[in-house]
Amino acid sequence: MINAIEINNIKKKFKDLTAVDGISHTIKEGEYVALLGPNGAGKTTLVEMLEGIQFPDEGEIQILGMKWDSHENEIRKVMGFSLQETKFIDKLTVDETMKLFFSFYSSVSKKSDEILDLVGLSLKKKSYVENLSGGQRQKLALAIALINNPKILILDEPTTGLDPGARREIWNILQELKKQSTTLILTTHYMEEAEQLCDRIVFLDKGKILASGSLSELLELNSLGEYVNFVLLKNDKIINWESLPGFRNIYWNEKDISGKIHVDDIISFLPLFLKIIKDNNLNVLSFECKKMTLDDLFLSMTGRSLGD
Amino acid sequence: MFIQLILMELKSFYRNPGIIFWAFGFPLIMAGALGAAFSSKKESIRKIGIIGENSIEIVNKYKSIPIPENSYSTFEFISLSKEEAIIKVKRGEIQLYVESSEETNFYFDPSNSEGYQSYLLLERLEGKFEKKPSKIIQINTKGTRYIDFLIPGLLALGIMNSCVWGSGWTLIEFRIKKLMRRMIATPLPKWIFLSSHIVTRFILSGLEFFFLIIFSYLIFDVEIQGSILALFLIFISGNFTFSGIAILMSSRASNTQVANGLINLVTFPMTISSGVFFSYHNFPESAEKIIQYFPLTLLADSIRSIYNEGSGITDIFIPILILNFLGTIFFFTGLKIYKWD
Repeated sequence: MINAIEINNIKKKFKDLTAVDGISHTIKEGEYVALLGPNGAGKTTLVEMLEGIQFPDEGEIQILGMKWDSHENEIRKVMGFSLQETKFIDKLTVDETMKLFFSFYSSVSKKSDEILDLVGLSLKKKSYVENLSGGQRQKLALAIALINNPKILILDEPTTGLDPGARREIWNILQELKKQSTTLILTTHYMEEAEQLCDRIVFLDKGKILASGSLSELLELNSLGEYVNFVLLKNDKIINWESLPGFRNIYWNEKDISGKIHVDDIISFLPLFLKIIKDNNLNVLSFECKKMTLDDLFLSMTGRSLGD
Repeated sequence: MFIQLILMELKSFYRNPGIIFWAFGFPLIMAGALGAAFSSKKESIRKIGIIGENSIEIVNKYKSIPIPENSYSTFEFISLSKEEAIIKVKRGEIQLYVESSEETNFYFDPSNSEGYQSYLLLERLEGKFEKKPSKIIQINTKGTRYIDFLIPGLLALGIMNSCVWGSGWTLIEFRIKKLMRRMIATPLPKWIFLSSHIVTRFILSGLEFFFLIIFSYLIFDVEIQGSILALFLIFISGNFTFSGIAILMSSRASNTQVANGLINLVTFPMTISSGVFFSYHNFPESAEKIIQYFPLTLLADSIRSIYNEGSGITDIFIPILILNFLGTIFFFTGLKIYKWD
C-alpha cells in the first residue's frame, strides 16, 4: 500500500529562524493525524509544505508516491485543504464562490449543494461572503476543500477562534468524512480536538517532532500516570517530594508557589502527600487530582504548555 | 495619548522601507527626472509651418527677424505645402501655419492654447519688422481641431489607466488580502489566472472605449476617418501591452503604498509626456526620440492617425507589432517572477 504522505528529513528556514528542522514522518492512507504544538512550533510551515504553497530548503515530500516538482497538477487534484486564514471574495455569494472553485477542477462528481449540505451551509447559499460569521467562513473553507472529493485533506487550525458550538459542528463534519476513508492532517493547539478526531497525534516543538502515536500510546509511552496540582500560601520549607513512593516528577512554579507532581497512582500517593502537608504544617490554598492529559504530556516532554 | 498615537503612525511608517522609498525617494526621483527633462529645454521652440508659393522666401524673412532678448520663445519655421501643414496639425507637430502674400493669414484652432500663444508671439514679432494686414483663419475641419487631437489621446489614456489601475491594483489587492493564495493552490494553471484578468480588462476598457467614441461623436462630432478594424486591433494591442505592464508591476508588490508608487511610476511620466493633452513634439529632440516609443505614445499616435488621417491596418502595423511584442515580454516576465503568496 502506498503511504498517503512521506516526509523525508525536510528543513525550512526563514532568515535566522529554523521553522522546520529535519522532520521525517509517514502518514498512512485513511489515517486521521493531528499536528499538535504551541504557536511557532512549525505546524503551519510544515502543512504549507505538504500543500505545495511553500517548498522545503532540504529534504523531500511525497504525496501518494508523487513529488511536487514533477506532479503538481496530479497532487492538486487529490488534495483538499483549508489555510489557517482563508479569505474569499467578499462580494461573491457562497454559491458563486463554490461555482468558482468547482471550475478549477476538471472532473468532480460531487455537487455544490451536496457539499453545502454536509457542512451545514445550505441556508447561506445566497449570502455574500462578507456577511458570513467566523464559523460560517470556516465551513465555507472546508466546503471548498471538499470540492474535489480529496483523498488527502489538510486543515490548518480549522476551529481556531470559533465558539465551542461551532467547533463541535466542524468536528461532526470531520467525523462524518472519516467514513469515506479520507486521510486527514489537522493542525491544532486544542488537545481536545486532537483527542476527539484523530487516530494519531504528532507533537511538534521548535520545528521538530517530539513524539508521535495514538493518544493511548503516547500516554503509555510516558507511562500514563496522574497529577496532583497544588498551590501553597508561602514557600518557606524545603520538602523532599522525591522520596515519596510513586513519585515521578515535579514541575514547580516559584512565582505562583504552585506545584504539579506527576505520580504513578493517586490513590496510593495521596495519603502520603497529605501526611507531608500535615507534618510540615503547610498552608495549602488549592489542591486537585487529575488524570494525565495531552497538555500534561506536552508539559512533561518540553516543560512548556501547549497553549504557550 | 496624542503623542503616542502620532508615534505609532510614524513608527509604522518608517519601519517599512518600501513605503519610505515610495513616499520620499520616488517623488524626488520624479522631480529630478522631470526637472532635468524640462530644464534642459532652455527656451521653448515653436514650430511654425509656412505655406504658399513664396514659402521659402517667407521662411528666410522670418529667420532674419532678431528675437527680442527677453523672449522665452524661439521659432522654427518650416516650408510646407498646405496638405503637409494640415497633416502636421493633425499630428500635433505644429499648431499653426502661416500664409503670407498681400496679407498674413494665420491658420490655427483658437481653442488650442499653444496655437493661440504662438499666434500672439508671432504677430508681435512680425509687427516689429513689417506691418501687414493680418487675419486669423480658424481651422475647424474635422481632424484638425484640438478636440480631434485630444479625444484619441484620451482614448489611449483610458486604456492605460483601466489596465494598470484596474488590473494591477486588483491583482495586488488579491495578494494583500490573501485571496490569490487559495485559488492558485488548486489545479488552476497560473497563466489562466493572470490571463483572465487581461480578458476582463478587454471587456471593461472596451466598454469605456466604446462609450467615449460614441460620446465624442455625438457631442463634439469627432469622427473616425480610418479603418474600424485597425482601431479594434490597436485597442486590443494597447490593452495587451498595458495588461502585461499591470501584471509585471503587480508581480512582487505586497502593500498598497508600494503598489501606489509603482503604478504612478509607470503611468505618470507617460500621462504627461506621451502626447495625450499636448504634443510631445514640443519636448527637446533627445527626449522626443525616447517618448515616441513609449507604449502610450505608440497607442495615442496610432489612434490619432486612424481618427484624423484615415489610417488603416498597414499604416499602424509597426506600432501594433511593437505593442504586442512589449505585452508578451511584460506578461511572461511577470508570470516568471510572480509572487503567489
